[in-house]
Amino acid sequence: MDDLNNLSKKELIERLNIQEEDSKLDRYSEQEIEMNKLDRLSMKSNPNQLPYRETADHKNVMLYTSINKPIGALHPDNARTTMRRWKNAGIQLYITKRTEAQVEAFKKTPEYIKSKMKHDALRSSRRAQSSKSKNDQMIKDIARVTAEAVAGAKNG
Amino acid sequence: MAGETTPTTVTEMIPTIIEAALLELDDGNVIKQLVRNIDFSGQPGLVHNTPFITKLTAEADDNLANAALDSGGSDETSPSTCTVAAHGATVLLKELAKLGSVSDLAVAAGQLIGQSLVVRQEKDLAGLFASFTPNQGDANEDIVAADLYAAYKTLREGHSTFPFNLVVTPGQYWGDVGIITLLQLDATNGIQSHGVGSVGEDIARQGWTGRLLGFDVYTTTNITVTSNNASGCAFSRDAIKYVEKKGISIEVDRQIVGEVGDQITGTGYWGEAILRNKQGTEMQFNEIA
Repeated sequence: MDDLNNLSKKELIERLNIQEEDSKLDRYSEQEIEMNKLDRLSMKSNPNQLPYRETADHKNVMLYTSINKPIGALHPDNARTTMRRWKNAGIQLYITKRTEAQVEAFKKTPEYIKSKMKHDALRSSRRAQSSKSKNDQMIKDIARVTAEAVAGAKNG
Repeated sequence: MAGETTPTTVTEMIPTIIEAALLELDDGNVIKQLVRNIDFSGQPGLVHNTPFITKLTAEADDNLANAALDSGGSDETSPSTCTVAAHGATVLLKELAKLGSVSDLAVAAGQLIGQSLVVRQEKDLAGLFASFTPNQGDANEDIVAADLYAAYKTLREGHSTFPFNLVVTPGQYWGDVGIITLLQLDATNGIQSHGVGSVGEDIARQGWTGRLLGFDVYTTTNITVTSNNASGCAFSRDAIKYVEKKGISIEVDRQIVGEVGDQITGTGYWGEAILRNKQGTEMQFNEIA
C-alpha cells in the first residue's frame, strides 16, 4: 500500500480520481453480481420444475450368465442367494457384464456346445409340435398336392 | 373471404380453458397379489428367514434307522432369506405451482408417489423371475404350446399348489409371436380360433382368455423388456415371498426455509425373495418376430 503522505498534491489528486473511477466500477459490479444471484435464485425456485426424487437404502444389482443373459435387478442379498442357487445348479453367474471376447470364448467350450445342442434339439422338437408349424406344413402339403394334380391333369 | 370474424381475428377475446390434468399411468399391483404375502410388522429384525426341512423316506421293512430332521440338506435353498429394505419417493410441491394450478397438485403428487411405489414393488418382484433356475425359452425364442406344458410339468414336479399363474408382458401375450398366436387359426382372412369351446369364444369376443392350459394368465408392463424379449414367469404362490415391514404411507411436511412449498414423501418398507425355487419357471420369450 502506497504512503499517500509522500505524494505531491497533483499526484494525490490524480490518485483519488482513479480511486473514484474504480469504486464506481465496483458499485456497478456489485449490482450485477446481485442481479446474477437473483437469476440463480429464481432459476432454483422455478415453480414449473417440481423436484422429484426416488430413494432406497440399497442398490439393486444385475447378474449375468456366461452368455450375458441378464438376471434381476435384485436386492444384493437376493443376488448372493441367486448366485449360490445357480452355482448349485452348475451355472456360474457374474456381477459384471461379460465382454464380447469372454462370451465368444465361452461359446467355444464343450460345456456350452453340449448344452446348446441339447437346447436347440428341444426347441426344434417343440416347434415341430406346435400348431403353427403344423398349419404351415398343411398349407405346403395342400399346395404340393394341388400342383401335382394340376400337372397330372395337364399331362393327361 | 375478407372481413370475416374468425377465432384468429379475435384471439385475445377467446380464453384458454384448462381441463383437469390426466396423470401418466402405470400397471398396478399384479404380481404382489399372486405371491406369498408375509406381515413382518411389529416384530424385531429386518431379515425374514424361512427354513426348509428335508423330506423323509419311509423304510420298506421294520429295520428302522433313526432319521434326523435336517434343514441344511434341503434341495431348496434353506433358509429362504429376505432382507427388508426402505423405498421412497418425494416431491417438493412449490407454493407458486400449487397456487397457480387449476387442479389440486397435492392430490396428483400423492397419487403419482403411490403409483411409483407400487411400480417399485412390482419391478422388485418381477426382477426375481429370471432368478429361478428352471426356465423355458431363451433370448430369441417364440413361445409354443409345448412350453406351457413344460412349465406345467416343472411346477407339478416341484409339488406346487394350485392355482398356477402365468405372468407375461402384454407383448408376450398379444404380440405377433405371442401366446395369442397359439390360439389363432387365421388372422388374415377372419377370426377363427384354435381355442376350443368357451376359450375360443373368449378369444373371439374379448381378445383374451384369463385361463389357459392350466394357468391363470396375467399381463404386466412392469417386466423389463430387453429388445423384443422378456422374462415372464409361471409360478405357484409359494414360489416367491413378499415380506412387508410397513406398507406404503404418504406424509406431508411444510417447507419454509430454502424453497417454500410442501414436501410430499411416500415410503414403504418391504423385501422379496425366492421362497420355493422349484415352484417357479422363468418364461423367456419374444414379443415380436
